[in-house]
Amino acid sequence: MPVPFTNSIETFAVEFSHNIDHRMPGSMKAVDGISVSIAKGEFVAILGRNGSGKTTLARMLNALLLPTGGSVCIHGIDTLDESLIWKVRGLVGMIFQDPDSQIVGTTVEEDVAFGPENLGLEPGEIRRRVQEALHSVAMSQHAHTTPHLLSGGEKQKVSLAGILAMQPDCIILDEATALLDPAGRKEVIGLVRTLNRDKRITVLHITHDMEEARLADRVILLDAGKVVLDGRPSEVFSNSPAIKMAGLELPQIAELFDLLNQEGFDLPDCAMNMDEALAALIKVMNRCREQHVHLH
Amino acid sequence: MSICIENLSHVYLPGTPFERVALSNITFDVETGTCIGIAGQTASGKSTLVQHLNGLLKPTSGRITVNGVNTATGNLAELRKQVGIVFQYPEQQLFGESVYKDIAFGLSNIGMGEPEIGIRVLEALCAVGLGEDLLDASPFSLSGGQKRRVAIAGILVMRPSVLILDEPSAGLDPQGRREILDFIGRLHRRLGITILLASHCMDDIVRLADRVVVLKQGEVAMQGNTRELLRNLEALESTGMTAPPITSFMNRMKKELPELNGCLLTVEEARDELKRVWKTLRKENYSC
Repeated sequence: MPVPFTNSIETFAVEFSHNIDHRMPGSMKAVDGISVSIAKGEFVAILGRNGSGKTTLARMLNALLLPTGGSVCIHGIDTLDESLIWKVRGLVGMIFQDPDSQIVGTTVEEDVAFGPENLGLEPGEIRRRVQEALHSVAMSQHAHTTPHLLSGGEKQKVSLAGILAMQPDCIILDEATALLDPAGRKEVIGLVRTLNRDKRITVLHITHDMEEARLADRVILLDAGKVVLDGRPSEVFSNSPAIKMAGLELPQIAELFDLLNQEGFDLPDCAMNMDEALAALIKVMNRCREQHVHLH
Repeated sequence: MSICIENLSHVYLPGTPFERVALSNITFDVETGTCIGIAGQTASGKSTLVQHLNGLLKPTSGRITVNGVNTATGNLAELRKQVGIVFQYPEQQLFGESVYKDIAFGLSNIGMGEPEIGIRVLEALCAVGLGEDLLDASPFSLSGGQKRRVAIAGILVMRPSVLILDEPSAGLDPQGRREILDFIGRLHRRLGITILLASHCMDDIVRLADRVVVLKQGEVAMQGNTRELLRNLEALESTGMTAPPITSFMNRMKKELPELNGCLLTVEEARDELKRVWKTLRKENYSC
């Protein structure tokens, strides 16, 4: 009987150290005891400075790396179970930072077909999936284009299509927007958000961009291989000391609210989108004005 | 005038089926000792423009002079001593077995002798804010931000009078980014060199540049004083650039609160301006 799993991803005190064979006393663990559960359909941003363990954690989630302590379960499958490793990689697709280092095909179509071909699907099925995937990322018109003629954002969309064609349960973006210009970023994030909403694909978005993290359902902040904060963006970004301790910066508007509150403004610290923030600040500023009118 | 660009156009692979106009009719000047931002989306022509400034690419038409030297006809060796270019991901160009050897490479290439090289390397290392203890380390053992600074030191060691940086903060984490921008700002103030900063990120440009040229599809879409340019957010956004979130936010705030002054570029400026208006409102209040 198949067991219905509500969690896409679960980690249990997972650890990873490089060069485990000659582990020196006090050698740093890249990931040091992380336990998180990520539900199907969640959109999670993972934040942390360079070297905080983001990428190592991500690579353990599709069994590119295997834990040196604890365990990782994808849909209930332990990644240490070698017989099911291809199943895990089919469930969790990963997009990397550099658009140029992950494209193998000589045409867009061929590149997208690479994954399904490796799954050993029927040619007709492969063709159907490639068309559908290119359609989902709005790249159908480029099916026969050579990938190196595309912009960075377009290349990332091709990589995304390559993963969609494998019909994954979860997509991990490992700083996949870091090298794109603002328009490219907006496009890729918008697309991923839509896939997340319409197809209930779980998304883990590793980023340095606080403005992007703000758009997630949940933010997990890592530092020195451990989870420092885990919660809704408004909760996480209201903890400015922890964010700064972890070597990151607040989104600009949260930073402004933090500074204004130090000056005695009485602003909520959970206003995260621009409209909410605007309304809150206007309310505080108008309070003075209204009192002024009353006194007259 | 440090850099003069007149009607610069560049066409890649002219006369072939792959012919592409990368730059058309670019004209602007950069005054000595100022910092100018070159903004634009991917494929807007920033990198093509940058490679013209030390003669790596030659204009298809138009002309460029840097400190009076024409980049197409002048002495290239001299030009390249004057103009230092820090390319995208400069850390990928590191190759020396030690930080010292990597930084010294340019100087030994022009035949400089040892005691002088040593002095210059230390000076460059100090300019990028790294300690002498790193000199013997392998550049590959350093963090991303440190590597990038070593690569920049390898350019500064040539004592260029014009420093060109192509996306200096791309791919760094927030701390690394802040550090690199702060040190470019210090460098600019202390050494008084002319800086040209090419970036798709307006946040970086507003921190450093007094003037901006915005490129779109190889043409100058906008140019002027950074603050003035950011007053017209719609025009800026039509070029594919995004204003810093704080600028957009304060712009919308100003519509609700006309007492607010001007165009604000940083969180600190926004705080000071809001505080000022808040205090005025409260003072009026108390005075009743």
